Amino acid sequence: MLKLFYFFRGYLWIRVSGACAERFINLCGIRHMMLWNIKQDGASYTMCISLKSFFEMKDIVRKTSTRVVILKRIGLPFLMSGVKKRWFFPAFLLVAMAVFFLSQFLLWNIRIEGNQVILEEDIQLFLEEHEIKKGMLLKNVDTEFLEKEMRRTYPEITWISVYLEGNALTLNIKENDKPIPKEEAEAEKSHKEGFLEEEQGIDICADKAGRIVSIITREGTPMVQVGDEVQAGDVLICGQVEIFDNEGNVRESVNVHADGDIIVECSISTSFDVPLMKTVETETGNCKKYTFCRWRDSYRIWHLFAIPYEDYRAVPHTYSRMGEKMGITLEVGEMEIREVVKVVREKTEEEYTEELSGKLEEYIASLAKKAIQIKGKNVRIKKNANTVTLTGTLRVQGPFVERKETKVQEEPFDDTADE
Amino acid sequence: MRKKSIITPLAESLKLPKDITKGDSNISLTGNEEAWIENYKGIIEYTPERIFIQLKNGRVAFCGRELHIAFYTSEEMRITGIIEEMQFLC
Repeated sequence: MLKLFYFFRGYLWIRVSGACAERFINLCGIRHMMLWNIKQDGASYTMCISLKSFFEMKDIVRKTSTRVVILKRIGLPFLMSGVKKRWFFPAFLLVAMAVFFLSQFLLWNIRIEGNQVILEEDIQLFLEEHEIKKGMLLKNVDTEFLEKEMRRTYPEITWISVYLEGNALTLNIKENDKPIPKEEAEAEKSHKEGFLEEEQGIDICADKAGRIVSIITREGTPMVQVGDEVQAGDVLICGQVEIFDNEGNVRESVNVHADGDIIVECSISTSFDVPLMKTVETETGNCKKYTFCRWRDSYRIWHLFAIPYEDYRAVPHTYSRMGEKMGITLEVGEMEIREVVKVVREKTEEEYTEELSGKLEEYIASLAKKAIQIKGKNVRIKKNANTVTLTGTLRVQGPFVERKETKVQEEPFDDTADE
Repeated sequence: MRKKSIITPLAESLKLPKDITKGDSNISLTGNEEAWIENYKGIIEYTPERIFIQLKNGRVAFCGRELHIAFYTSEEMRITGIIEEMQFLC
């Protein structure tokens, strides 16, 4: 510890020679100068002395008639003189230390655990609304307030723990496993003849013209049967249930929200265009390499002169990557800038067929996500002046239905009744 | 002499350490490889085989091999090496 202290203050390794070298040591001791590592080296002594003491011992040297030779300068003050020429290194070290020190006070990561029903995006949006984001000061994160707000905003949460762990904020959520009870207003709705009566009935209507493949009614009155041809807008399940009396007459009708599974088979016309011409980049073989730095998603390339190519392709080679655990990415590496020549040419038949097929497959996949099945397709590709077009018809089966409010059927006014 | 005659029995009755009252030296040995000396006046002779120290009430000599002073201040010093003999010379 003492050596470390003297290292920071600076000390000298000296040789003291002369007839009264012991007296020199004694006088140093009397004047409270600290000496260490005193060794005899032939007729002289070598020892270490602090820099401050060295400047105070001139009269001791004169009094004892000894000769003092500096053998080595040790310590930070002597290192600093060499560092003056290379000021960039300690400056960078200081800046790095300052950045590291300051980064300890910032929030670098947000972890959300245990959520199943509540989407992570929703929670992130909630945090953003409450100005909780990466890079903010840790002291500004009020965990208790966040817990209360989360519980208030999301009633599904039965238990939540928000805590700071290092530079990361962790939200540990426990959701209610039981189904959420229906609202009291709904529970208070009147039941009539076994049906939940609504103020306004809702019909299920056809969205597209087609043929009914299957119909399962859960609530409401079915208006069509399997095999029926329907037009767009036709009512498939009516949101009104008629209740008959013992004589078979309509006693009353109840408004309900029609519910059921209906599969309609219909045809969908599709059309996709792709440009006929294509720009092809060909590498010329010329290449230059630069150092780059990537901070999150932005690249920074260091170059003294402008990149000499008009068109080029950048290929990064990462050397080191850091900060991934903290939620930030800092990459340093070499960027290869390859010169390319752009040539515009017409696509071959295989190329545009593949491109159009890809688009069609993508469209079919998007239909499949909506529970629409493809039963057949009839497509053809036509080459135009500037584009290539794929047109065709898809025979599909799916729930092509929409919900509409039930229209109240007004009874025709009968003039003969009074007569 | 008169003053000493009062201080000595008083210090003995109060059980005060003699290095404070009489200015006696404190010498601590750790095995035969290290010696701590306090309350000394100075060095008389220093070689790797022999270190001769002037105490306030006499002299002490450390004889041995590879002796060297690791630490030296006005209050205390530390001698390291292989101490074979310690001699008091009054």
